[in-house]
Amino acid sequence: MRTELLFCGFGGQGIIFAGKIMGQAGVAAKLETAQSASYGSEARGSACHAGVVVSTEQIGYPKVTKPDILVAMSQEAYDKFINTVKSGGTVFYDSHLVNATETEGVVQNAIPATSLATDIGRRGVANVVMLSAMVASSGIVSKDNLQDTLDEQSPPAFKEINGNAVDAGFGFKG
Amino acid sequence: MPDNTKNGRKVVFWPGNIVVAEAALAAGCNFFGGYPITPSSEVAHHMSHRLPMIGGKFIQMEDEIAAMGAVIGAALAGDKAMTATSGPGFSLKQENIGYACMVEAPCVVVNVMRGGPSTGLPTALGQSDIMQARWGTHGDRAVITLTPSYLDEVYSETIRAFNLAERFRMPVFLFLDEVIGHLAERLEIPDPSEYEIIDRVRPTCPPEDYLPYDSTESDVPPLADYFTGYRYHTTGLNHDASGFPTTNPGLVQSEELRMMNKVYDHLDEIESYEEVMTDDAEILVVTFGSTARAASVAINDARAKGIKVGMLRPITIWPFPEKIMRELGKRVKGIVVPEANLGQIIFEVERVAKCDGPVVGVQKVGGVPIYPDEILSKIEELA
Repeated sequence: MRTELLFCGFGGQGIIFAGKIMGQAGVAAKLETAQSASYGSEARGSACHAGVVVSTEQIGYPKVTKPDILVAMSQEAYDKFINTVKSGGTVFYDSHLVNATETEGVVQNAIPATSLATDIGRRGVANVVMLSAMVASSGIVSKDNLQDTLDEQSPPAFKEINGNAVDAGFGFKG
Repeated sequence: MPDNTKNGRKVVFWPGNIVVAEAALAAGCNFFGGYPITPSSEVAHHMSHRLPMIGGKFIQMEDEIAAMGAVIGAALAGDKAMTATSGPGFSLKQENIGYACMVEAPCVVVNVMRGGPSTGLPTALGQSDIMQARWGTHGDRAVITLTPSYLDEVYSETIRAFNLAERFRMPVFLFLDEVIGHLAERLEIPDPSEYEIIDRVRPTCPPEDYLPYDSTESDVPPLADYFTGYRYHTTGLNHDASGFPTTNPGLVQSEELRMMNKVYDHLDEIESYEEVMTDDAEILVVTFGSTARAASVAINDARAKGIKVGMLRPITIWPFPEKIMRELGKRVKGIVVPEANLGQIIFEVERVAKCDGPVVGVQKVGGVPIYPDEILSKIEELA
């Protein structure tokens, strides 16, 4: 069973970080995982993306070609990738940043991640809210896998705010 | 990075470049001379942090040429030395790589391939240095080049690169590409009891009797560490057993042949490849590095459609695995050679396989990996 996830947005939102956390959480969940990222002159403000493949078997092709799950945090990235999503796939987009377009065969979930992150006191954890809402809905890894990985990979000062962001993502019912 | 364990092995989630650095340390690497260049820079960065922790030395030189010089010096002083670079840096290193071949300095040169020629595509995939590995530096010499495809293989082949360098007293190339260098995967780190570490043979004779290129006992002469009392001459000129220059035609011929044959007489210790579903294959895919991972998907998809296809994946790309290539070339009715360049290893496949049927490439530059479907459609054309 192979699942392809693509996180996209613009530099500075923690898109690559979200991809890395997802990959590492997959390892914690004892899945085979492969994580790659757009790698170039992307700096703050320009488009970037991170791909994660999780599988119960050895991963052959390690790159994402047709995502089962798209997590979009900018209009530009959403427009670029929405038509690559596999038929039957799922999209999670930040409703504060993206106007979704009707796409046949794809379930789309609006997550007010930026608003939720702002409510808990740090807009910058919108990426964690998005990631958490996606994990809550897809069940690819457990909440504990995600929370533990975040704790391991973040400075201690972020533990509380990340925890709140995970709760906000898991608690959100669209 | 935090780890958990499985079967007593440490489980990590590292990108390929970090796997190279950690595996080099596991192999005993204690010297890194480098000049950072995308997409290999993480190797240097990680080594700059880790080597001082274990009493090793990291030095960033003024350019890639000097970095290769530092590696040769460290190797002759007894260190297990490595450098890492990418295409433009590999071009710059060629002169000193030739020197390393000539003075028989054991060392490891990592090339994380990007697009080219020249500055090319600094941040994107390429596999277009594969012929440069074989023919890049002038003169005749044997070449060992390893092209792993999976991160567990990156770990084991990095260790093997050091072992082969020590065993055969020569530079060994470890070739990744941008996809493998930057891909993070779940990886179980093998316990040291699971692999062998080879150290160079050092002289047992008194210093005054030592001849640095004396091959009477072995085609790989023992190598003394500099600064241990063994004084000898090192030169890029053709030399005799003492290391001093010679123009004696017979001696030059026999020494150059020895340096070739120290590799080609021991292919059983060097060759490594994977055969996938070749037993009944009518069509064969030959590829390497990250492109082989697209091919592995393509051959499974083709099998699902009833096409009898298999794959030969050289892990040691140089020396090219000629024997198995010849055997398979005789049996199949066509060969597909995907590579992220405009046609390089296909020439070697054509030369060796002597296949009666077509040998066709799937060739792509532009920094985007070859997709499984692109290989599949070429397989279907030949089926």
